[in-house]
This record gives sequence, structure tokens and C-alpha cells, in this order.
Amino acid sequence: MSDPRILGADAGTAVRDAERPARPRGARSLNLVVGGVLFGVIVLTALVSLVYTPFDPAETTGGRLSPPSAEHPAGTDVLGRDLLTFLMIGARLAIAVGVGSVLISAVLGVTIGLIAAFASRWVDDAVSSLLDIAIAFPTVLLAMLIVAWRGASLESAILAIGLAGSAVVARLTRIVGTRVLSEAYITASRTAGTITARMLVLHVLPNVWPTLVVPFALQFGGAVVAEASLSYLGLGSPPPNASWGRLLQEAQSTVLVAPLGAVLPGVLLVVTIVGINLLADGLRDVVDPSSRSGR
Amino acid sequence: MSRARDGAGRVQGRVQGGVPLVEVSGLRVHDGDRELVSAVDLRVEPGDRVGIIGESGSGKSLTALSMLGLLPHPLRASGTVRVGGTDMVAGAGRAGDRVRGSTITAVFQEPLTSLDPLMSVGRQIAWPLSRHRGLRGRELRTAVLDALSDVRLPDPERVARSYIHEISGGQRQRVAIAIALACRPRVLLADEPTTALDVTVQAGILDLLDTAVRDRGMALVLISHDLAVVSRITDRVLVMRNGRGIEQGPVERILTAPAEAYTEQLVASARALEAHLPAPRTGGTPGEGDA
Repeated sequence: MSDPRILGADAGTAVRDAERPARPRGARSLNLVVGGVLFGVIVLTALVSLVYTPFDPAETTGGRLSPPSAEHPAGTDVLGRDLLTFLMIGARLAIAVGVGSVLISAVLGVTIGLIAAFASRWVDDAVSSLLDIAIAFPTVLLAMLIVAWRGASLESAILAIGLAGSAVVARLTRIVGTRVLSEAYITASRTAGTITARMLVLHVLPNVWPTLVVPFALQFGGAVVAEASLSYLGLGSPPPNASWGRLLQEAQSTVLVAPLGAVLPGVLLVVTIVGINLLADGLRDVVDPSSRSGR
Repeated sequence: MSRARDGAGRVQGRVQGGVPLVEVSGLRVHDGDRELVSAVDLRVEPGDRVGIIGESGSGKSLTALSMLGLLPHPLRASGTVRVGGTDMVAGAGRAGDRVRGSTITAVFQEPLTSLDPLMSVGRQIAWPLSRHRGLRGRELRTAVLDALSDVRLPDPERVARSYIHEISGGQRQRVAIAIALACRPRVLLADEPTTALDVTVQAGILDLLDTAVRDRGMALVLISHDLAVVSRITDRVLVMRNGRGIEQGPVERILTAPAEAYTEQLVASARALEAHLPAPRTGGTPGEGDA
């Protein structure tokens, strides 16, 4: 069968096809596997930290800045607290930041984006202009405002990153949503008597979703980095509930004496970001059934 | 509830014969100051088979969308368009939602784009079945498979599980027709339903439309640029050109004694094409394969 898609009849698929470089399928599944393993290790660490950490994070019996030993595999910090324990808690916080902020962005951004896509011309224009302003607003500045309002905490960081991300998600959702709404299958479905609310659940969200999954995954990585930056600036929560960014900041003054304190949180950050980005890349195929069959 | 109203309405329409199913009079479609369709009149009674014919840009599809109350955003309709007594010019909102599906529904030209690419065929048919007939669970499943075999699709179980990129063009159009029929409408609007298809497939789809509409006692409005296609399964034809309905009448009369020069031209060219074909009554010229 000659493929009608070549005629550009299906704009949605055409766009997705254009985004996809000519790469062998094996390379993509390798991304999925490597990304999945790297990210899986972090998630597993986070889960383990919920039920078990080698030491109580507040316990200061390890001796100041001791090097790695059987008892403290990653050494201790300046107050003699176990670093491995901190790193495990950091994994938990990183996942919380990623999930929390992506959830906020998704709920807020998709809602606003779909409203703009469905709305009349001038509402759409107004929302779009507001989104452009919101996107131009620096995340760190927004975070500082929220910290000034709510105090430095993990929740403040999640809220700030989530809000900043929602504008980007809203703009993307609006673009994809408008495109989906102009598709012939929406008109066809209306001729079968589908009302707007039902249309949203039945056709619009499922067709917007595949385009959003990859940006969400990338945003997860971005959120972890953003939180690390905020913590590094001292806007995150302090130890014993410290994120990797905060650990980096804490280790800054002793980096020459005990380099592991700075290296390990940095390495874990990199592992998380690289893992989620590879995963995002590999996910593209999984979420889109129309790209699944061998064409 | 909609079932009861539907049944009653159908009987009433037949007995009285007074209220037309579709009444279009003085329809105009504007894009700002530009008038794209001017003065189209059309009446469709229960069981009628009406063809609308005209070249590209003659306003056939806009007339169809006006009947559905689904003109795309900047376009505006004026005049009278009543479907099952509901004003589709003003009532594009909730009233239109009640009419679409239950009274009128449509099959479009390109089945690849008029079906959701990310929803299995079975689910796409299930939705109108559950909405218009209130079916659930196993009943619904059986009805989906019945709907697929009604449009003569082989292996309904497999087709129901498929996504539209996994089936052929002709099969897609059969699925689109199955969805339309699942609504049990009183009028089926088919806008160039065979244009995107292979010639050999075209004939099958026309046969299917023909029998499906007859078996269910539905009215059919068939839009095409192809006189051979229209004359094959309709009784009455409206000829459109440049946004106007220029001539309307029974198929035989249009074919034998066209009143307008343009219609005469259409008939002549259709005959010239037919003359080259060994077998009569095959729609159109041989294409170059799948479109």
C-alpha cells in the first residue's frame, strides 16, 4: 500500500515525522534502556531512602569530614553526618521536585493552553500575550518572590518551578491544541453529535498528550537543575533535609579538603538529568501508536 | 430519550410529509465581505436521495457544513437552514449538538484525516453507539462488531482493534460510514465520499452507501464533482457553480434535458468519459492508484 501520509494529509503525523531524525530504531531503544536504567537507579534510591538510610540524618557521630570508610561509604560532612544518607535523601527530594513541579505545570499549563485553544480569538490573544510575559519572567526571580512570601522550603521551590514551567506548557498546549482542533476528525466527530466537553476528553487530550510527554520529561530534568540552582543560592531547605544543590553549596567551603562532598551530589545530578533526557528521547516512540508499526 | 424522540420523529415525518427533514433556502455563506455561497435552495424529505454536483470551489462543501452548523470560524451563514426543524444557522451551539448525530450526520472525503489517529477503530465506533443508542458493556461490544460487519469489513474483531493507519483507504472509509450509521441518523450527508479512493474501491463504497441508506430508510445527500457517481445512486440533483445553485431536478431530466448550458457541458464531458470505458456505470476514470 502506498502511504497516503506522504501527501501531508495528516499534519500531526507530518510534524512528528519531521521532528524525528533518520536514526535506526535500535539507537532509540538504546536511549530508552540506558535512560531507564540511570533514572531507575535514582528512583530506586529515593524509594529505599523512605524506609532505610544507613544513619539518622541528624546523627553527628561520624567525625568531621572523614574520608570514605566501611561505616561511611561516602564519608561525612563538616558536622560529622553521614553523606550517603544525605545523598539518598537528596534523590528523594529530586524526584519530589521533578514530579511536583511537572504536575503543577501540567495541570495549570494544559488547562490554560486548552482554554486558549478553544476560546474566541481575543481571549486567545490575551492569554497568549500573558503567557509571553510569564515566560519572559526569570524563574529565579519568581522563586525569590515566592521564598520571600512563604519562606525557603522545598515546597516553595516546587511551586516556583512549577509555575514558571506552566507558562511554557500552556503555550505548547495552545499550539498543539489549536492544531488538533482544526483536524478533520474533530469536525467528523462533531457531526456524530459529540459535544465540546466530551470532545476534549475523547479526541483533544489524547492527541495533545503525545506531543507533551517528551517536553514533560525534559521539564522534569530542568526542574531538578532549577531546584539545585535555587538551593545553591540558599533558597532551598537546609540539611538534614537537603537537596543535592544544597549539599553542593554546603561542601563548597571544604571542597579542597573533602572533594567527595561536592563531587558526589554533582555526579548524581548529572546521572538524573542525563537519564531523564535519554528516557524522554526514547519515550517518543512508546507514546505514539501511529509510529509504532514498522512503516 | 433521544431514541424515543428519534423514532417518533421518523414516523411523523413520513405520515405528515409536511416538515422537510432538511430545508435550505436563500443560504448565503460569507467570509467577511466576500460571499462564497449565494442563494442555495434545497429540500430533503425523509427517504430522499439528493445529489449536489459542481466543480471545486462551487460551494458544495460549504453548503454541507452549513447544514451541519459546522462552518469553520471566520465564515458566517445567513438565510434559512433547518434540519429536523432546528435552525442550524443560529443554533450552531447546543441545539446543533442535539441535531448532529441523531438527525443528520456526515461522511467526509478523506477518511485518513476524518478519523482519530490515536484511537482504535472499535472505540471510535463505540462512542456514537453508546451516545445515541445507550449501549454499554457486552451489548456495546457486539454492536461494534455488528456495525463493522454491516459495512462489509472482513474480520471485524481485528479491525476493531486496529488503528486507522493499520487499515487500507477503502476500509477506513467503511469505518467512517459505520460510525455515521451507528448514530442512526435520518439524513446522511456524504461529502465526496469516494474522491480520495481507488476506482475499484469507489464502486464498493457507493454500493455500500446505496444499500445502507435504503435498508435504513434514511435520506442521502451525496456531494460530488463526478456526475457519474451522483447519477448512479441519487434521484434528484442540484447543480452548483460559483456558489449558486443553478439547476435542480430529477436525475433523468438533468441527464437528458439539462436546462443550463453549464449542466449540458457537465453531462457531455461525463458522457465522453463513459464512452471510453468498456464497462458502463463505473464511476470516473481509472486513477493512478491509492490517493
